[in-house]
Amino acid sequence: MNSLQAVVAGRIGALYVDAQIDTGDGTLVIVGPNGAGKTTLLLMLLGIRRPHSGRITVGESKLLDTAANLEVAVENRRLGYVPQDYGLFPHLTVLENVEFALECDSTGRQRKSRRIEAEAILDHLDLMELTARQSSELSGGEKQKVALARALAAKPQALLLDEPLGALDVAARHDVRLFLAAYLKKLDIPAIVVTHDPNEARTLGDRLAVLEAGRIAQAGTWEELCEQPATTFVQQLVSRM
Amino acid sequence: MLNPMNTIEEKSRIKLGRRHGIQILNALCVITVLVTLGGCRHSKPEPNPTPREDKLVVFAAASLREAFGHEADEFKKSHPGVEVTFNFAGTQEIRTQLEQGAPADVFASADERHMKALQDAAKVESSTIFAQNEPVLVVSKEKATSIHSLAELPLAERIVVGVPEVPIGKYTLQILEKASRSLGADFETRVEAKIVSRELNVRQVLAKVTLGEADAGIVYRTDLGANRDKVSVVTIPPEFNIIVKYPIAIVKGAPHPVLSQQWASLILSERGQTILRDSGFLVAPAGKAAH
Amino acid sequence: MAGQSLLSAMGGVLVVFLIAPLLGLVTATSFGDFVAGLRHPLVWPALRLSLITTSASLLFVVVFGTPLSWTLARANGRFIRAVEVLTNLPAVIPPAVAGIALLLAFGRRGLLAGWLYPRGWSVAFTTLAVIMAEIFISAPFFVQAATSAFRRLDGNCLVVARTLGASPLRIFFRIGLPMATPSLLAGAAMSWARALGEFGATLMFAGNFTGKTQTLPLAIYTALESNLCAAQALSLLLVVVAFAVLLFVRVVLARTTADEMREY
Repeated sequence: MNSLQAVVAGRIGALYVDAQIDTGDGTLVIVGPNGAGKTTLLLMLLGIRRPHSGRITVGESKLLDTAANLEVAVENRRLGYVPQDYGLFPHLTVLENVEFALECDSTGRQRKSRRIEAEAILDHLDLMELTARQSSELSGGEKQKVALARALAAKPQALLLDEPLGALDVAARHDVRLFLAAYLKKLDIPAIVVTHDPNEARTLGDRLAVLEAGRIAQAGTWEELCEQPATTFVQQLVSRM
Repeated sequence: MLNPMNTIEEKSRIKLGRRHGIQILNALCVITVLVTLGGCRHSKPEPNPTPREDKLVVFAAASLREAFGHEADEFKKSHPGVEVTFNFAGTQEIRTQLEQGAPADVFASADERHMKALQDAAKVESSTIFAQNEPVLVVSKEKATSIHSLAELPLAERIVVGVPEVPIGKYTLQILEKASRSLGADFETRVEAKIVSRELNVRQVLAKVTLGEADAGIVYRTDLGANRDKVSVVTIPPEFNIIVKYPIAIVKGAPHPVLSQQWASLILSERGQTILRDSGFLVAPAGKAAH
Repeated sequence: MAGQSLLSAMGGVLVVFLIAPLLGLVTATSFGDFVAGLRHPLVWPALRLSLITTSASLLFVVVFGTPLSWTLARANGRFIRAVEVLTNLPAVIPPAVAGIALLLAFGRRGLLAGWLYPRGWSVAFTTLAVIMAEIFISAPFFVQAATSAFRRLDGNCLVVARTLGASPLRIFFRIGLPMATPSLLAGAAMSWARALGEFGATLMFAGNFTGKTQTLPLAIYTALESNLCAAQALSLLLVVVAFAVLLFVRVVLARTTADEMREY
């Protein structure tokens, strides 16, 4: 499996983000307090925000290299993104949401073949009963699955999830977390999950990067963090479990 | 010659007759009927005998704006502390306002017909002609060299006139009709073919010729004002022209009858007439001493 | 409860104020007068011209105003803000002044005259001039509504669409436009209503000629000079036409917003 590696530095508003991350062979959880710059970091990886210097690669594919004056546009980075409120298109059905992702590749397929593929993706996530619904008719967990299906339909080279359980009520959170943890384990592309919750941080990823005030305070496995917490925040994080 | 204007006017008179506004009649006010111009010419405005009247509201045709402004300055000289308020508008508009009971003291009209209608509806006292105006042909700078007379009007590519519903439009039609009798029967048709717009007031006609958008138009001489140099002015031969008579009357139930009377006297006085003449009005109604 | 009654009562004051003149118009015009007014020779050419020109101006405003609003809503920077303010300006200029401004730009002696009319013609006094005046006066209403509608869109949806590889045109047509449709319709309706009532700029720039440049408001003003009754009947017709169209848009909107409400 490829890994997503990034070194980015740049000022967004009052926050100066200067971070180096590496998903390694699996899922990286970026954890940190509110306002640490977690979402900003994701947006920099996606290309929505522009760091003033940096380098982003997924395996052999270079997405950004400011030293070489290389910058791949958002549309061509092939990074799957699931925002905190899932960002489902409200005027489209579940099926159409997924079809939209298939429309955007340049293979110019027929509508019918897109539909068959979209249905296959939804079936894979057990969403076939929901195809005709609009996002207003879905539960939080269902929305999250649809957003995941849509992101994967575009065949991304990495997956970025922002607070995937943040919009869910407490009752739903447990089930969705278990589903997501299992799903990310099976996934054959690197993933980044952003969260502020220690429980999610421990269960969703293989490795963690703790972001504090725009900088990576510590990176490693949960066990490594427990053994030698580098900062007070990390200490509190692991002890809250 | 079919004149659609007449039918529209007839209709309007009937319709408007039905639609009376609230009439406020102040029985305590005894309003002196205006004396004739001859009697008035030598009478000076009296000093204000009733100090309770410190305001005067004059409704006047828009073409009187400049002249009446100067008349007000003159009036204030002999009536210190008196506030003169004007409402300048199209004569038709003022007529509607008066019919709806607008509180005015004096009405100066640019059209005898509207004054007559108000008299018939007992909205105003009897009226006197206090000034005359004449339509002139205005030509844009671009066409000034090719149009020197009314007869050359068809040389214009774009002519603007007043809509027949407003006095200047009505007079324009009458002038064209008269001119056709001696300039050839097709004169009116040739002019009509070049008309690109029938404007709702004289200022619109003048603006379009001033800006060069239209080649020629017909407006009152008094409307030229500051634009006199921006257009070329062609006098319409008297045998074709319509002399417009301006009547003035005191409104029935005027809140300030004494000042109203004095205002009318000023307008008809020698000084008042001079001011009107300076603004381009002709001040000699038939039978009165002309200048 | 008492607080809500107070608020409703205050709102009621404005409603009464807005409706009273319309009611005056209705009560002052008997059915006979209305029918007679509709037979006035100016009515049908003016109504026809008004519907044609406002449709044309609305089409132009929507076709060019929607991309403009999208651009204004998506872009940042001082230049863009300045452009936004400039496009709002025609809404505050008195219409008659707007008419003069149009003449000074597109008239025979206007800024663009040498380039537009090498042979001395000009657009003034034509039906096209009516449409131009209506566009000038009514476009700001649509652009303002559309820009704020596009700004209110869920930014996450647009970001996701980009990460899925959608081109700017695809995002505009498949995501931005359909998501903002109810607000765009409302803006278009307001803009159309403003164009329908346009008077001052049309009179100055296009003149007043039956069947060619005399729209319904100009016909009303013309009729007012001779026949108050016909003017009232025409005004009533204008109000009825506008009411029907605006009501239709509201009903369509109510339906689509009801759909949207279910999401939240």
